[in-house]
Amino acid sequence: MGGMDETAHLELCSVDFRYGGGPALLSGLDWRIGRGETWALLGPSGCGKTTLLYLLAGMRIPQRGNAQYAGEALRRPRPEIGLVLQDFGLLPWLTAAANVELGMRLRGLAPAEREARRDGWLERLGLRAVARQYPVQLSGGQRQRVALARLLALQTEALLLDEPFAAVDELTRERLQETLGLLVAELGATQVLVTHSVEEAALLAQHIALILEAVPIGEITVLQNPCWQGEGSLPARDDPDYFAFCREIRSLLKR
Amino acid sequence: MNVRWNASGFARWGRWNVLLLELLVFVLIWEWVAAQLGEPALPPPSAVLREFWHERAILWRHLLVSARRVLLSVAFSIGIGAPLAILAASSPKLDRALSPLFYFFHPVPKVVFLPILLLLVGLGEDSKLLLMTAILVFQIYVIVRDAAKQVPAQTLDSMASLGADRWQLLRFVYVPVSLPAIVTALKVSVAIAIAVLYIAEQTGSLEGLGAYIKNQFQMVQYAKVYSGALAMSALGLAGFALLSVLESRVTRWQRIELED
Repeated sequence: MGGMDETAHLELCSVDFRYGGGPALLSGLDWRIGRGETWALLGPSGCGKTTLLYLLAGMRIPQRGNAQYAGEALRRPRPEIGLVLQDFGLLPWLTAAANVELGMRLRGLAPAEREARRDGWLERLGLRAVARQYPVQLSGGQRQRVALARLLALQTEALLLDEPFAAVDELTRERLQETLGLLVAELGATQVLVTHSVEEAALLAQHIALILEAVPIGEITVLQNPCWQGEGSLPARDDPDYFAFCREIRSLLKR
Repeated sequence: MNVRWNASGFARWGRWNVLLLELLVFVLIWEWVAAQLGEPALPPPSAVLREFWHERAILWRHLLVSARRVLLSVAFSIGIGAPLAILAASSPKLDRALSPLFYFFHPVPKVVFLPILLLLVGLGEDSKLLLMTAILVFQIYVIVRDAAKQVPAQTLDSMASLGADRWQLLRFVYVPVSLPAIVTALKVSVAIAIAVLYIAEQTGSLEGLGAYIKNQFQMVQYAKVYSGALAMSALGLAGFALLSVLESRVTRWQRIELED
């Protein structure tokens, strides 16, 4: 933004990672994410996208190298970083409202503050009517919005999202994508979105990180989104430049 | 009148009505068989009910003694077994230390140690409560621990990313996920406790329904034996009814899933 050489917001430095005695997934990987940048991470299934997100969230510790938040090595989850998992991670025995409040309760916010933020986000994400329902009573899109509300209520500086819209129908997905784009811009948050959808990546991120190698991954390829306007206005879905960019990503992934 | 016995008609008629009808048929058959046999060991239900009413004050006194023993032993067992099971499910180290032991002793028929317990602890309340607790605590541990182990890894990851510490994981995940199993364990425990109590009260006890039944049996008062059995059944049913209320509260989020 200012073109200064400031510390990265989130960074992986020469990271090696494997699960237990499994095969190496990452080998000497570097990835630098600046403050307020919006990223999408694309790659084939099983290539370790979710693992990368877990490392950035401080939930897995690399065997070599490290993950850093604002220059500090991540050894555990930090309150500045929020993560939404693929299955949304809602607790089935709590109502939608209680799920939204959960993160704030765990972090010890005062009840009045919690309720104010909870009600604000339920309202903004159109969840007021289902606030007292349990996750099993909600549609996929509503569950996704509850998870999003829980994350946004924490006012984290970095939002990590693991295929957040994979389980919802097309129309719901489009509306949620627009909501997310707006909110991320408004909050000025750093975003890392893991997705398997080329279109979604080109829509919601300024920087596209591609995993083109087989494991162990030693490098990610970075593309700049030519259609990116910022300020929460997403590329038009029928823009020829947007189509062209999607085609470019696709041809790279196929190689 | 045209009664159609389709499924919805049956449901509308109500499970309670069906149960009452079935009980009525049972009692009628019993009455008829008892009249045919004329056997003192099988008095007709009318005689049993008459005796039950006649003995109600004495039965009530014995029932209170038995109920207290059931309540205390179940409370001790759940108080020891459930927290241990939940802690073990949440901590691999503790699980490795405790679970093999509990699973090893669970199938051992502890009721056969009653005579030894009587020798060591004496004939009083302690030996009965100790025996019942020793039987129930293993049962409860096994049921609750298996349920608490079902927490998906994704849920734990999600909680960790929200910054949950160990106690918060217990409070917000392991305890709520175990509550339905705890109620199931309580139901099983009440049934087992009453059965074990019946045996425990046969030896060296003057009070309690088990003692009452044994005494009446020795005095060849068969209708009273049946009255005692009726009172013991009532104790079990009351326990189940109370626990069903509790169950419907703690499993609300599960029942909604079934209703959908």
